[in-house]
Formats: sequence, structure tokens, C-alpha cells
Amino acid sequence: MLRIIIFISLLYSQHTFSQQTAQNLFSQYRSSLYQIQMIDKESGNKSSIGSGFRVSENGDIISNYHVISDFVYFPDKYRIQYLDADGNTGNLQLKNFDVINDLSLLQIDPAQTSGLPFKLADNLPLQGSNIYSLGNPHDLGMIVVPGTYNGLKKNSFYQRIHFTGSINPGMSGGPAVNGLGQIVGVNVATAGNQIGFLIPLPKVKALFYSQQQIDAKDYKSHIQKQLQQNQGKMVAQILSTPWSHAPLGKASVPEKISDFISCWGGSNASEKDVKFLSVSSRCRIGEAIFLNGRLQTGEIEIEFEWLTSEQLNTFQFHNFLTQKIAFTRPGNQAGKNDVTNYRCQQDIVSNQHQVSQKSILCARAYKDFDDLYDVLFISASNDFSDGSLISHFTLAGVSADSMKQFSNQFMDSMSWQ
Amino acid sequence: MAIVVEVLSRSGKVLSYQAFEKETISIGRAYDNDVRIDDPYVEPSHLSVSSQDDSNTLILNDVDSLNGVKINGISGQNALIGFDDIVTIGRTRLRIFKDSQNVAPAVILSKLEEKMEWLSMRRICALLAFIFIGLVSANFYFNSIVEVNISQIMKVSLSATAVACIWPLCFALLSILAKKDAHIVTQFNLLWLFLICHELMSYLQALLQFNLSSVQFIYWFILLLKGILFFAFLWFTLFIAFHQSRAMRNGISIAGTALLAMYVLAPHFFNTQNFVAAPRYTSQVLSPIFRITAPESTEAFVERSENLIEGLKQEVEEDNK
Repeated sequence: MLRIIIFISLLYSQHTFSQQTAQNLFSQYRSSLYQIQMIDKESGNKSSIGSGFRVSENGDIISNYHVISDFVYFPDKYRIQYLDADGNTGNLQLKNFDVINDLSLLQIDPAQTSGLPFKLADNLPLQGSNIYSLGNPHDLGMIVVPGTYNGLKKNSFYQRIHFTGSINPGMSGGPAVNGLGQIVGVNVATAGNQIGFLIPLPKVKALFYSQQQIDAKDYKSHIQKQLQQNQGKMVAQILSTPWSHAPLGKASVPEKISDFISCWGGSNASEKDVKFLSVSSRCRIGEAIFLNGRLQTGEIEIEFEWLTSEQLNTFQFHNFLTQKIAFTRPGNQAGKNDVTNYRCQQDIVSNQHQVSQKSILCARAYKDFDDLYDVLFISASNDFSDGSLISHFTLAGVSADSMKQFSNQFMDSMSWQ
Repeated sequence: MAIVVEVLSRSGKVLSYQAFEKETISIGRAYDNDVRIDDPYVEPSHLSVSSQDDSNTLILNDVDSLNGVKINGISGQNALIGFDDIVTIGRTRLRIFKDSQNVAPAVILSKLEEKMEWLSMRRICALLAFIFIGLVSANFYFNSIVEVNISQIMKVSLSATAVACIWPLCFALLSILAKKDAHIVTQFNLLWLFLICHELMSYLQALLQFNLSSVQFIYWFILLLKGILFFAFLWFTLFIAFHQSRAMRNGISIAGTALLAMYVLAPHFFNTQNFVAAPRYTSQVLSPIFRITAPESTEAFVERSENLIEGLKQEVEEDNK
């Protein structure tokens, strides 16, 4: 009986504590929350802002990679500055970063800090728990956003916490804490109304405990290593899981090549005045790795389209096909300084299921990173006079080996029913 | 021994000539002259020309005229003149020489001229025009994926034909201005042949680019063929239109072809360093009935991408230098 009473009283005290949390959190940790600013050395003005938080007495600050990406790419042009709750500013050193999980580890002079640093939680909370996201949206000052922990995002290659609560621009890099004020994640993105994503605790711990100091001259090779490792893992995972197939017109095409690549279907059957029938299936990973304002990578897109026409004659139909596959866009954004132009090769290829396709394979190289390429493939099957299967994929930031393995598997994956 | 007087045009063409079996002839505006010239700047009795027995030269004698006489552009009163001298009185240009003057030997009649005789047949012209209109119409019809009717096709092919007709009409006009036969049917036939060959080459390009992997090489090869075709077309057009020397004709044809080549090739040699986000490739697809080569295997195709990768690596290396 006594044990039950003790248990109930314990539960009660826990409950009152969490009720107070929202009010107390900000006052308790305000001195360990920072606004992180990128300062353009030439003009002295801030070019972008984000949030960050101190996690140790030694002055380790955690933020997002994308908040400080300008500094990684142009260490001579920018410096990283903090603004604390009392309005003090000072410089920060970049110690380490993780482009895959969008994290950065910064260093503040310990003499400039006061108050308690945030503690990292031991475990992720239970689904449905209240958690609190802290940050600095729209340069308005630090705020606390209460929300719910909804587990890890499903069907995602990169682990993300699904947070029900609004994360706004500028809150990037801010902490998400449990009721005890312990870090469970880092704000990273929003998917619209009341859906936010956080980088989960294990990734934060991994970066924090590595305590590796990266030199400015090694930034690019550090990124390269992370990208290569990540793409290797991702492509291996895609190629190792058996691809399920579904019919599309006369063809049978891969329907779902991996859990983290989601697909949609479509057709023009409801449209009038078109002389051809089109049914399509499009799949995307939907998550990209941000490297800088002009360069994103890690995208994967797969598209199939079955085209057939009873009204067009075979010459018209194939002219139409020629135009249809004449223009394709890369899956990821990249600029002149980051990648070369595409180079292409083409031929009529017959795969293991005797599907003949006019195939075009293009690749462009990353200028800063060895053995990373954006790959683009498009083909039109050439077995019927009045129907054709258009197959298309783009891979962003993969090695030459991954490109070959994926191309091989993809090109051999279509068959006629 | 006779004296020959030729009246020349500004460009040196002979407008008229007369021969006189006399020792001395008179030239002027009055009706009692041997050669009468209707030019207000010429005196009624402007000059006389008399022959010297034993030489090829004549003696020119200005009869105290108001505007004088110019021999090869230089004023003079009495002079010895021959076949190579141009005499100008008033606004009229004359050549005065003895009929014993040697003329150049006959030029061999070009065999080509005879061989091209068939090109002047009207029936062939009609047939070729019909083929050309057919090709243009077919091209337009097969390239459209929306509803097309006969009137649209006719409109497009006939307007293309009408534009093309400007070329032979221009050359026919130029030949007439140069006092040559217009050869208009031959000119039209040449044009149709050129356009039909050009169209066929485009089809050949599509067929090869569809079947073979070296699309760039095919593009340049067909472009070269088209260049040669244009040179030949221009050469024959000039051959029919004018009787200029072979060197001159070759020169004009080369210059014309070079000019066109510069226009076509300029985009290939300038702006090649530009960054383009989307890939550029040739996406030629034809109906399966046009497949003339055996397809490649997936493995061989993918293995070949090694060349792409090598090329890209070199490009990055050069870029980093």
C-alpha cells in the first residue's frame, strides 16, 4: 500500500514538473541559446541567421550545417558570430560538421559563457511525449514552441524525428528538448502546417563525442568523405533489396525499389483531345543533402511512362517520342562552380528480358569532390510500332561504380508482360 | 586592210562594231562621218583615224574638239593607237583597230555543258518540283502530332517552295543582265536537286543517329556532306548563269560555302565554355522497322560509360589547373 502511495505521489510530482517546464525552460537555459549569424567580412552585415545551443562547459555549440555552409565554402569571405540572450556577440570557431545529417559543431570561448549548458538526453522519448523546440524564428528573439514527439519519420533514408509543432525559418539549429530540458534533437526542417523535422539524438551525440577538429583546408575532403560513404550505403541498400514490379501498359517495371523512395502514378486518360495515352509512375527520395545555396545532392528520381497511340501513325508516334525524350532536367540543383557540363553516350540496348531501348546515359562530375557524379538516364523502348516505354532515372552525387551498378540493374529491370 | 570601230559599254562589252575598207575614217556627231556617234559631248567632226601601211597601229587625229580625246584615260591630240587602247570621246568609249588583229584561239566546248543538257527539260523540272513538294509535305505531316488537314500541308509546302524559287529567279535575272541566256529551267532543276539531296541527307542523318552510338561523328559527317553539296550547287549555278573563268567560279563557290559554313559553325566554336544545367544529347527515335544494327547488351553499354567518366575526370583536372 505504501509503495502505491509513493508511486502515485511520484507520478504527481512528475506531472507538475512537466507543466512548469514550458514556463521554466526558457529562463533556465536562455544563456545557453544563441543566434548564429554568418557575417560577410566585406560589408560587416549578417547574411543569414540560425540558432545554436551550448552543450558543454568547454563551449561546444551545436547548430545545423546549412546555417554555416557559407563559411565552409568561403572561409575567407565569412565569419561565424554568435548573439547571446543578453545581446553579447563574439566569434565562433568551426570544429566539425556532418553534411549528411545537417549538423555542425562550433566552439565558443568558455570564458564568455554563463549558466548551465544543455544536457544530452540518454534516450529518445516515447511516442506522444511533449517536447519543446527552441529557436529564433524570423530574427524576432528566442522562443519556445511546444509540440509532440511522433517517433522517427517513416520511410526515410536519413533518420529524422517527426515533430508535431511549427518550426520556422531561423529556428534551424535550435534544440528540441524533453520535459526535463534534455536535448533530444536539433531543429532542421518543416513540411508545412504543424509538421516539423528534427535531427535525432544519436546523430547529435555522434558528432559531439567525435571531438575531431577539422582544418579549413580539409573542409572539402571532409564533405567528400561523408558524401561518398553516404552514397555507397544508399545505393548498396537500394540494390540489395529486391525490386517489386508492377504492370505499366504492356510493360512490367519496378514499382518500389526501396522503402525510402515513394512513388506516385498518373495518366492522361481523363484529358480530351490528346492523340495518345500516357500512364506513368514517378518515384523520388524527396530528401536532399544541402551543400551550399546552389548545390544540393543525394536526390534519386525514377520515372516510367507508357505511351501508346492509335491515332498517330508509326512515323508520327516516333517523332513524338523523339521530342518527348529530347529534354530532361537534372534531379538536383547545381551551379557552374560545382559541376561540369553533362556528357552523354547513347545506343540501342537490348536488356536481359529482350526489351530494346534507345538509351541515353549522361553524367557530370563534381569539381570539388573526386569520384562523385550526377547521373541521368533516359530511354525509349523500340519494340512496338505504336507504343513505347520511356524509362528515366537521375542519381545525384554517386560514385562511378554506383552509377554502373545502378544503371545495370535499372536497365535490366524492365520486361514485357 | 580595213579599220574596225567598236562602241563599248562602261563595263567593256561591245555594243556595236563597224568595219571600213578605207585608209582614213572620220568619227563625230554629224551625219557625214563614217562612224556617227549620238553623244552631245562629241563634236560634229571629232576625230579622224588613218592607217599606217606596215604596222598594226593607227594614227588618231583630234580635229580640235571642245572636249578633247582621252586614250586610256589620258588626254591627247595625236596618238598611235591599237587593239589594247580605249578611246574616250565625250561619254562614249571606242576601240579602234585594224582587222588584221589576231584573235584568241577557240575555247574547247565544255563536255559538261552537253552533259547538262537534260537539266533543261521541263518535264524533269516538273517531276523534281513534285518530289520536293512531296518531301516537304511528308516531313510536315509526320512531324505533327496534332490534327492536320490537306490545306495546312499545302500551305506549308507551297510557301517553302515559293521561298526557294527566289534563288533561281535571282540568278536567271542576273544572267539576263549579263546578256547571257537565262537557262531558267536548268536553274530550277539544280535547285530541286539540291533541296531533295539535302532532305535525303537529313533522313540519312536521322537513320544513322538512331542506329549508331557515335551521333556526334554522324552529325559532322552529314554536315560535311551538306557543305560539299552546297559547294557543288553554287558552282553549277554559276556555271549555268555566267561564263566566268574556272578560277573565278571556284573562288566564288568556295567563298560562298565558307560564308555559310561560318554561319552554321559559329555556335559550335563560340560559347562552348558555357555552363548548361540540362544535358545535351541527340534523342533520335525511329520506328522499329528502321533498325539496321543489332542492339548492344546492357553490360557492354554500361561498361562503355568508363569513357564518359574518363572524359569528365580530365575535364575536372583541366579545370583545376
